[in-house]
Amino acid sequence: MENLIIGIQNALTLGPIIALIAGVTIGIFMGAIPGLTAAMAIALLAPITFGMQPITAIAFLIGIYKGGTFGGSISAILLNIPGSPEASATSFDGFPLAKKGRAREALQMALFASVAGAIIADILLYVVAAPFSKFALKFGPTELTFVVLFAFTFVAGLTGKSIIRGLIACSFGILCAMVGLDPMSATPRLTFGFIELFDGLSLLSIAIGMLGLAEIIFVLEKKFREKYGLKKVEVAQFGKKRGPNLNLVIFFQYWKTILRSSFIGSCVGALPGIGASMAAFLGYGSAKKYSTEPELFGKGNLDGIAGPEAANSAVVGGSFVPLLTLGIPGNVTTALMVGTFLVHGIEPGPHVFNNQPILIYSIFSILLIANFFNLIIGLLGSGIYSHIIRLPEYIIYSIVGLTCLTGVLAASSTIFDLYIVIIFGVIGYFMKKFDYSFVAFLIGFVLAPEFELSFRSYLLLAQGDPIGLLFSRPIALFFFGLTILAILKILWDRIAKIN
Amino acid sequence: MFKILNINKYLILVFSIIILSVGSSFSSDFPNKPIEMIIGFKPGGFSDAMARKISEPLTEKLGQTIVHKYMGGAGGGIAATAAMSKKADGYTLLVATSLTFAFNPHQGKVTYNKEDFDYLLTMARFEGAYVSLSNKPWKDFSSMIEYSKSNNYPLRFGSLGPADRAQIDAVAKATGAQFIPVPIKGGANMMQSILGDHVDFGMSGGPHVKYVNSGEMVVLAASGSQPLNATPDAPTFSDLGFPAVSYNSVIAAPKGLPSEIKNKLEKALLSSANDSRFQELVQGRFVGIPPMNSKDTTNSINEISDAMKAVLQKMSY
Repeated sequence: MENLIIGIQNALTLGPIIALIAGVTIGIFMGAIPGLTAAMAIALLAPITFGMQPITAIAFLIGIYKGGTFGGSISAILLNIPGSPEASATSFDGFPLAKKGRAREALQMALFASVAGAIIADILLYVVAAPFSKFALKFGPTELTFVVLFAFTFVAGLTGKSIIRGLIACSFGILCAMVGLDPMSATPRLTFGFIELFDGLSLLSIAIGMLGLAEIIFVLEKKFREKYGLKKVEVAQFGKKRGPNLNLVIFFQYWKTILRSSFIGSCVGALPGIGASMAAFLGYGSAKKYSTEPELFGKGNLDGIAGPEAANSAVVGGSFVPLLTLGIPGNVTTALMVGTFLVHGIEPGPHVFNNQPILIYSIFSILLIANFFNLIIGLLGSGIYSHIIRLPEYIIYSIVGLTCLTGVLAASSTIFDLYIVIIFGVIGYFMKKFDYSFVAFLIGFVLAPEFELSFRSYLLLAQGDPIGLLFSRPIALFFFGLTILAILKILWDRIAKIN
Repeated sequence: MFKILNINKYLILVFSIIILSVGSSFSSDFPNKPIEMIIGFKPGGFSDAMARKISEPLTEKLGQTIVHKYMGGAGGGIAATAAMSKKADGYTLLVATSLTFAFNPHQGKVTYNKEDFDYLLTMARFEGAYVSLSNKPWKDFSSMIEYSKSNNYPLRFGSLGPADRAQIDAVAKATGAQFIPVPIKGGANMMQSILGDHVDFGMSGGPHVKYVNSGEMVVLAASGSQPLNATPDAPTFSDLGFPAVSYNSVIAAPKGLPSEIKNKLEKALLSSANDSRFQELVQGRFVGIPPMNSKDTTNSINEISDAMKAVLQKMSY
């Protein structure tokens, strides 16, 4: 209890508060620009936090994460371009509303639902994370093998239109993760003689290349086509009016949707490797399923904004459960945050709770306080941000392009990583062009090393009897069962779809 | 008139460049520009903290700024490769570990070897130790080996890298005990694996000290030839008759420094390492040792290198 109070006090000092305001503002701004995501913002800005106090640095990154999660919905609603992948579902009903001249209502619904979802998830984290951390010690190579295996089954939900392409993208991610020294024998794999590849490809370089640089190549192509009169790419129209404010009474009529989506988001966030996009689609789907007027979905229903927005924001709180208790990052954003935590001497894992309880409570408090600033800044800004997006593209994308390269160079100080960024920028462009989900790619890339290490250790520990070892470990067996169920469910849905 | 002025400006510029460049060729003036310190680790770790801390007194003693450049990866190998191609003029320093020079080249995957560098300083020694839970049916390394052999129990061994695997492989050869090496990434995960009883014992470079103090863990043996700081009673690998590996933090420079510059750097580094600011940092983390000069550092690198070479030639996996 004493730790809790000290933690809250630490969070309420000037440094973290300023960092939160700056982080939320940057997050909303970056999230609102298509192609710039919270993940990218964290990747680019993490190096500037190295000089800060640990708690200030964490507040800054949490601010970006929370702000970015809401920011993505701004461009999704106004332009029908999701600013971040998890805002995709928001555009289904947000954009029709904006077209009808109810943009302000839609934006405010997204903001309120986001904040409500985030608060519910953060409170759940407060309550559940501490007991979970003792449980987490039971996770050895055998357990982790089956947890990660289970997480892989969720890739099926993120594959985009084609499950085959999603699997190809995921496999490619796994292949890229195999670059580097073999974890058992320390012999180089797929390094082609480059010592720079001994530690594998860096997530940061790949993410910036595939998310940022690929987006620029895409816009270049669009402009090129326009200039030479080739087949044009459709450009979304703005809703001319901003419309009335959201009536708070109407907002509270959607409490069921928000509560349901918050729970979905928290659970999805707490499971490693799944992420906010999946949660948003689940939130949208469940809102539609339980709605009394499902036929209005897709035509401009506020319920269709509340569902995905509460869910994708609840993921933030949920994703801190495995991050803080197991040291497992649940998605790209938290994966990038781990790096920053380590820089400040915080090694996320079961022992953070025992060794640095004050820090944990500070992080909890910052997560909650961030929602407040997200609400205020989001409310003040959502009108202005629409104008920022209307800046000439050549200005926005020039800055993005330069920052992609300087950001990576600043982080690694090797020219080699610039080549990696450019190569993955081109790969990302073609993947987007041919509809290969890079969410699936990144999940494969992030999960594969963990899976390889634990799976090979599991086989070694089993001493030739992997099934016997599996049946002696109840947690592993439980996740093995879940994996089987998830695969059966996927197959069942495919068959149902065909029929 | 303007033209003449311009020419004068150019003359002054050219003249001052000549003076400056002539100046820099006199080694007695060393150092007359900032010194680049290539750090073979990612920023933020303890090795980075040491490099930054030793730079404070070093800056005062040399009268020049120390510019840090981070090139983490491949156990310091990326930084060493980059440093090797720099001029041996004293303006490039390399912070790495004894294994960067004494172990990595034996694996045949890096383009440098230990003869490519002048070794200037050993500033700290990590608490390289083999650790296990204290409630295990053994008390130290020898009794663990005995337990394994008499019960025909293969020991699950948490490994942090190829060097400790080579060491344990040598133990297996010498004693006939069985080991299952389980690769584990980083000290924090190692602590989790030991506490969660996922391995019987494991290699640790320092994070175990707090668990040893709390009574949860016990140090079985020191991996090197010198007693540990926090647990000096634990036997060393040399005592036990196995090849010893010391994880030392070393500062080196490209081979072939002019002797005057080398002496000056060595002296400045040695007194910086003895500075109270630096000693406070390393002693707080139990990695403090009396700093070793150029000659002793070179000898220790050669010693570890010979031991690792002998082990690797007999490796089975």
